[in-house]
Order: sequence, then C-alpha cells, then structure tokens
Amino acid sequence: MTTVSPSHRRWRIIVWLLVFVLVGLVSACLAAWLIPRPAVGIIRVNIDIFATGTDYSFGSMELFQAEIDRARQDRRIKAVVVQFDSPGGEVVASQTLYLELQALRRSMPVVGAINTMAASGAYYAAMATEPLYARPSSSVGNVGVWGYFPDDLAVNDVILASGPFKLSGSNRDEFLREIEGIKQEFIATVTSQRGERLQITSVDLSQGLMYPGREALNLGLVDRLGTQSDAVAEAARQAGIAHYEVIDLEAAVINAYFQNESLFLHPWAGAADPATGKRTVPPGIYLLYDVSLRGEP
Amino acid sequence: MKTLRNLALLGLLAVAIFGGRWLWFHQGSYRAPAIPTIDPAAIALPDVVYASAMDEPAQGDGRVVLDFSHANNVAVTDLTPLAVRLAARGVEVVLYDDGYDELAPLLQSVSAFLILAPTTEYAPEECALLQAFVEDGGRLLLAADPTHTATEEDEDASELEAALFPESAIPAINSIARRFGVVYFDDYLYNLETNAGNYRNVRLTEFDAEHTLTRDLESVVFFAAHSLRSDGRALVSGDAVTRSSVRTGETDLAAVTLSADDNVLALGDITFLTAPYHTQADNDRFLNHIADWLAVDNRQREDFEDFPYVFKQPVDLVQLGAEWLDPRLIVRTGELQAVFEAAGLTLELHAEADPAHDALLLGIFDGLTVTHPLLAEAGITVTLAAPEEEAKEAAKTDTDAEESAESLTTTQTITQGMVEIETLGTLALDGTSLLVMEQEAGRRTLLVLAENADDVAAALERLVKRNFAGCVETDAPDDARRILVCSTGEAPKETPTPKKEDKEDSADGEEAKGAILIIAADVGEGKRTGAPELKAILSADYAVKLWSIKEDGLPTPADLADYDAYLFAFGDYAMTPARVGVFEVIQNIEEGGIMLIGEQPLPGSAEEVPTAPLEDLQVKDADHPLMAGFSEDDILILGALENDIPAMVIPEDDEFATILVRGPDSAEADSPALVAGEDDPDNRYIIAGFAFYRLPTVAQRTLARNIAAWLLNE
Repeated sequence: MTTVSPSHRRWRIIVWLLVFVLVGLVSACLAAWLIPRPAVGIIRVNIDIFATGTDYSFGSMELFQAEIDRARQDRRIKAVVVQFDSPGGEVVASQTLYLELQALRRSMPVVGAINTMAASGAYYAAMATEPLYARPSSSVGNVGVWGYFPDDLAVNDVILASGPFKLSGSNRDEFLREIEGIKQEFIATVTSQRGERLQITSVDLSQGLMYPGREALNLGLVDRLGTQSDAVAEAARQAGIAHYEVIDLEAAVINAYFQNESLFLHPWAGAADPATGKRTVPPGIYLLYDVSLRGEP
Repeated sequence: MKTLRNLALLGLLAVAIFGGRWLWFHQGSYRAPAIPTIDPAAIALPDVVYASAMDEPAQGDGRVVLDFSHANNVAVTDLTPLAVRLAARGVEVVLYDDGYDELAPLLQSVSAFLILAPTTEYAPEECALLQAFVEDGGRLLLAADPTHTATEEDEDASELEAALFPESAIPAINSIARRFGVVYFDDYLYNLETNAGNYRNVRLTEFDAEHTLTRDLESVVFFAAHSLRSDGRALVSGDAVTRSSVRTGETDLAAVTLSADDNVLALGDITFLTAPYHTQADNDRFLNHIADWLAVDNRQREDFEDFPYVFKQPVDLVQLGAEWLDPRLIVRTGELQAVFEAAGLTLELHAEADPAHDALLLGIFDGLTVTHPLLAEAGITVTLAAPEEEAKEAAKTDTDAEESAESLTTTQTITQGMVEIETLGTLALDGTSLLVMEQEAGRRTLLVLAENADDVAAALERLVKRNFAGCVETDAPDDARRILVCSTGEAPKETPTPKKEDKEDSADGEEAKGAILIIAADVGEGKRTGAPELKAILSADYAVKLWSIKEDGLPTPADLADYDAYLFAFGDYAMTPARVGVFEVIQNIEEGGIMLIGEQPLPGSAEEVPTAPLEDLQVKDADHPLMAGFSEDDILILGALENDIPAMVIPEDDEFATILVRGPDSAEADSPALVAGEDDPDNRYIIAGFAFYRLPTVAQRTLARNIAAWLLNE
C-alpha cells in the first residue's frame, strides 16, 4: 500500500478539478456546437411575387426561395414565420411560393402573419401557413386573377405554324377558360386549406373583395388577430422550442448574396411609392401605379 | 477506483451539460400535419359554345340609318352581322356622319335610326328631331355598353391606361335616351354563379314572353352590359343573382327595354351584336328578331308634307285629261325623278297607272279630270262654268308650247266655276289648286289638279319643297283620303321674310306664321333653360330667334322691336340679382304676347312668391285654347329637375286664368302652375312656374304650339 503525501494528494485534486473544468468547458462547447440555440426564421413576403427578374434585379420568388432554402439548411431554424405585406403577383410565382411553403411545413412549423396586406397571390401563398394571423385592419383576400387578352394572330404567308394556336398559344375564348380555371384553382385551394373554418361561400369569395382583418377572421379567412410576435411564439410552440432566437432570413440571404446591397429589394414600383419603395395603396390598384409610370419601375 | 469514479463523474458532467442544453431549448417536437389536397372535381372549366341560328328573313320595308355623327366608338365592320340581316330583308342601310343640318331631311326618308356607342352628347335640336321622328312612327335603336367608352384624347396615354381610365360615354347615350324615358346606368352587370365563363358575361334568361322580339328566347349572353331603366317595358332582365356594379342590392335589372309605343329599343350591350359573340346562346335568334323589328316601316306618312315618302311602291306619273303630253311635264318629270330617286323610289311617266303601282296623277280642271272618281270619293264636286267641249277645242287649237300655255290660259278663263268640298264648303275654282291623296288596299294615289299647267307645276313645287303656305288641309270623308286646297300663284317663291331682316326664318323655309323671340335667361346658377327645346318645336312654323342673355347680354329696346311674341325661358336657373335686369327688359316690350316660364320666382317678385317642390301638373281649364289637345284633369308627370331648386307657387290672381295647377304628387297641390291673362288680344301674358324641358315630350310639342298660337292670336 503506497502512501500519498498530502502535497501529492493536493496536486491530484487540483488536476482532477482542472480536468473537470476542462471537460465541462469542452462539453459546453461541444453541446453549443451540436445543440445550437434554436431559432424561428422570418421570411418576409413584402413585395409583389414575381419570378422574372430584370437586368438589375431578380425576381422576388428567387429571394423567397433562397430564404426557404436557408431555413431548411440552417440547423438552428426550427420554425418559420412568413410575414405577408404583399399585393400578390404572378400566378405561377405565387403558386410556387405556396407549394414551397407547404413542402417546408413537412419539416417545420410554418406560421403566417399578415402585416398590412396579403392580397391575391400573397393570400394564395398564405394558405400554406398554419395558423394565419392578421391585424384587425389588415387587408386580406382579393381572391382571383386577371390578365391581358391575347392577340388573335392572323394566318399569313410569312409564317407557317403547325396548329391554329401555335403562334399565340391561346385565343380570347381559351384565355377566358384559363382565367376561370385559375380562379377555380385558387378558390379550391382556399376551401381545401381553410376547411370548415371557412364561413364564406365560394361565390362570395370569387368577388375578389379584400376584407379587413377582423372581418376576415369572422369569415374564416384567417385564424387569429395578432402581431408577428404572436406568430413567432406560436411557431416556437409548434416546434417545441424555448429560449429561441429570431432570425431575419431576408437579411441573412441579402447579406450572404449581395453584401447588404438592399437596393435590390426595391425594384418594384407597382404598389410602392417609387421614391421610397413603401407601399401606400391597396393591392389590385398596383396595376394603376404601374400604368401611371408607363410600366417603368 | 477513484479514477474510475472521477471518470464517471466527468461523463455525467458532460451528459448533464448536453442534456441540460437540450432541455433548455427543446420542450417538445414538431409533427408535420396532414396537408389537405384539392379535389380535382372542383375545377370545371367552362366550354364556350357557338351556334348560329337559322335566319329566315321576310321581305322588309324601309331604310335604316346608322348614326356615326357622334364620335361613335364602334366600327362599321363590327355591325356586319346586323347589316347582313337587314340586307337580307331588303332594307337599305345608310351611314350618317354629317352635321345637324342634314339630319332633318334624312329623317324624312328613313324608317329606323340606329345609335350605337355615341361618345358626344346630342344637341336639343337633334333630340327634338328624333323625338318627332319617333312620334311619327320611326323606330330608334339605342345601344351602349361599358366597353365602348369615349375615346381617349391623350395621345401620350397607353392603350392600357386608356382602358383603365376611360371617359364614360353614359352622358352621351343618356342625352338622347332620356328623351324617350330611358336611362342608362353607368355600371356593368355581373353574375358570379350562372355566368358564361366570366362574371361579366351574364347569361340572361328573363324575357318578356309576350313580345315578338323576345318571345322564343331561352337565354342570351351579354358581354359587359349596362343596366337600364325605362318608362316602357323590360324585354330582357337579369335574375336574382345578376347584379349591378353600382346598384347594390338591386336584382331583376333590365338590360333591354322597349318603349310603350314599341318604337324605341334600348340595348345595354353592343358586343353581343358583333361576331362571333352573336352566335352564343340565343344571341343570333335575338339578332334576327331585332333585324325583323328594324325592317318595318311604320312611319305615318299620310301628310302632304311627307311627299314623296307617302309612296312606297314604284310610282306611275300620269297626265290626266289631255290627249297630248305637256312638254313642261316632261321637264318636271326629270326633276321629280331625281327627288324620288333620292328617296329610294322610282317614278316613271305612263299613259295609265298600273293598279299594282302607286300613282301621281296630274291634270288641269276640265271635263275629264273633274269627273275622276277620286274626287267623288273624297266628297268633292267640281262644276265648270264653260261647256267642256269649248275648253277642249280651245286647247287643241294650240300646238307649240307657248301657244299651249296660252291655250291653257284660255282654259283658265273658261273654267271659271266652283269646287264644292263636303267638309269645307264651296270655293271659287279660279285661283285654286286641289290635291287629293288616297290610300286603298296598300296603294297610294295622289291627284293634283289646277287651273293650268304652270299651276300644276307650282303645286308639285310645293310638294317637293313641302311649302304649303297659302294652303289649307281639310277633313276628308274617311281616313283613307286627305284633301289639300291651295291658292294658286301665291306660294312664296323665296323664304318668307320675318318682321325684321335679322330674325331667323322658320326652319323649313316656309312662310312663318309670325316672329317669336325666345330669350334664354341663362344667367346665374342653373343647368337648362328649355329655350332650345322651344325653338326646335316652334321653328317649324314661326320665324324664331333665340337670344342667350349669357352670350348676347340683355336685349335692348331695339333688339325687342317688331316681334309678335316674347318667350322668357328661365328653366332651372335660380333667382339671382342678374335676373333683375330681365324685369327691365320685359318693361321695354311695348306690344306682343309675353310668356315667362321657369322654376324660380319671376324677376321683381322674389320675396313675395313662395316655392315648393313640383313633381307633376294637372290640367285645370281644358277649354282654354292653351290646352287644345289636352283633356280635363290630365296629369303631366314632370321629368327630373337638373338644377335642384324648389319651383315657385304662383299666387292666384283674378286678372289671370288658371290653366294648369300643381299635380297631386306635388307640394302645394292645386295651386296655380300656369296662368294666362290679356289686356287685349294683341297683348297676352302667360306665367308658368316650371321648367319647360321637364314636360313630357308630347306635351312639350302641344303646349309650345298652343302657346305660340294663343300669344299670336291666331
């Protein structure tokens, strides 16, 4: 049996303490790395939804897609809140956003929060969120679609096409069917996603009216009245996380891609004030702004 | 052991750190919900079906005018389906884009007038002509819709901007439609449930099953249509789910209406008339019916002033009596043929009239012509003073034209006699020409008799120029005949001269019955005086001058000289200090009838005369000449007042007879609304407490003529 001197014993204790501290620190670091602080990501649908970019901008759907991808890739993000402040936009871009958000819902909660408005295509995309918040005076709805009549192209001796609609792809009657089909798809989406909560008929919905948030709540077009903070809390609750942080995915994406060149966030001059980019009019009317600017952004 | 224990503690520490962190941040887990999918059956796209209806045109009648004089926002080619159907019915379509001056003669010749998508307003004079046209049996088709708006004048505006910010064409169509009790609303019809592929393509299924225009229709599709209101009947209406974009809550909205007299058809859509949209639903069938409705000539052309449109078939020109053809008649025939050709008729010289044709019979009073059966049937007996054989002998002795004229003059001298008309009395044959028109079995015959060939020619000239000054039309024994007796050689060859050279003539150049000055008191706040309507009606018979105080200032005593009557039209202009000057103008009138007509108290009486809303009038004294054509207790519903001011209530005064009173729906009912008095027959006065333009159309015409006749003591 060996005898340990007091000084030696003291040293051993010190060493073990150091080891404990070291292991504790390493464990803490490892835990922080392996178990990051969860976050709720904010996707901001705050411009019109369009897929096609221009020479000096990109389509807003590209930005939204990047934000959704970021939410999937960032291990911290356990839930997403989609903040709507948009008059809508192109049909296919809006449907793309809707489908992408539905896909995201398979992996994390996706909660909607309507700020000023979610109209037309923005409301279409909002159907992929659960639940959907609105302010009492938010503008909600504007279900429907519009488009320009196609030109009827004449048969001529310069171009020979293989079919009557090969050149134009459509005519006035087919365009009418197309518009009606998109409207029905929109309404079917709303009725399927809102289910029994919906207290408005498809016919009334097809009027294309925008409703104030409180009326939208009564009609079952939204679930609750509340703010973005309420939506974030609900998203965290669904995800089962606490002590989370909130990540602005738009800023994150912009920072990553464009070194904070926020200029690219304001290519749209439709519903927005052309000088400030701030939207001042209801949706549906954004076409008029576009017209007054002769279509120039 | 201690080492193992410590290592275990180290492990526990690490687990505690990891577990604690995990539990600090995670309190549950997310379970993805089941996401509902769309039922594919919920998407059912509409099919657009085109189906033409077989057109079985019957031979129609008349000429149709397509009005393009008001910047109409429709292309002629758009109306090809309608034009083709009219052509198939033998109806000529005339395009009209001239000025107002050409409208009156044009309306003489046509049976229907089409106004589609006008974008500029109709002037009161045009409205008055079209009102007379419709009252005369002419048919008027009105059509406007929200996609045929006023054209954009801003050249910098894009096509889209013009489409989104159109200038409404509603004021233009309503400027004429309201004259016939029709109002187009500045809206569009929509149906969210049973539409034709789109909310604005409304499928209309409510029809008037009693009318031939709509009796066999099941559904028509209108492509953005205005809703209408009409005093007549609604032929096509929306159902309980067809709504107006502005008439919130209203249903059963009319999209096609027809006036009570069947003469004004108003359509709320134009697109359904155009290709290919006329082949959806029963649109094509409806278009056929519209063409049938237009291809009917119901114009009442029974008056001599309707010459040559009194004829509807090829016309045979026959010289009665003489065995030779008067060379002057040949010359006249050439001129007449041009007149007839312009009217779409043919005129040929024949020895005898074909029973299948209409006939224009010319002759001088002689033994053969005065026994013509047409005279006996009209109750006319002509007695020649000289033996018939002597007259013939005198005529035969002259061979060349000049000599012939002399011989006819000789005839004139020997045919001194009498013409006895049952309904008029006996006239001296000398200096008389006689025109008798007969319609039997669809054939029309016009007999013109005079003392000599020159007077026959002069009578024809009267017909062509519709100048019947010096003539009197008298009742015939039955409705199939009309008789006109004229004094020969006295028809004015030039336009009658009013009392002053600078006064206007009667509109059609006839000798005016008198000179009337209409003073539009258009100063201050107001919309309409009614003066143009008065002028349009009275110009046919009187030399009328319209004086606008706003444009011409107050008339001086010199301006007022030599008129027979003075009509001060205040209309809906409110009482203003500027009107006080009008009172002084009235003081300067030394002689002649005076009428003051307007809603507001008269100049100089503002404080004494009360006012109250006025909705209708009632005839009080049907025996007064001013009420000729009206019956006791007739109610005249007044139109809308454009400048909303209460109308004056005229105090009762023993010096004035009360002719019209306020109607039962008006405030202060039974109070005087039109009073009349006189110092002597040359100085008569009328005061009317309503705006003339508010009167119903027919009442306007009747009352205006009565007023003029009474003021001028005719």
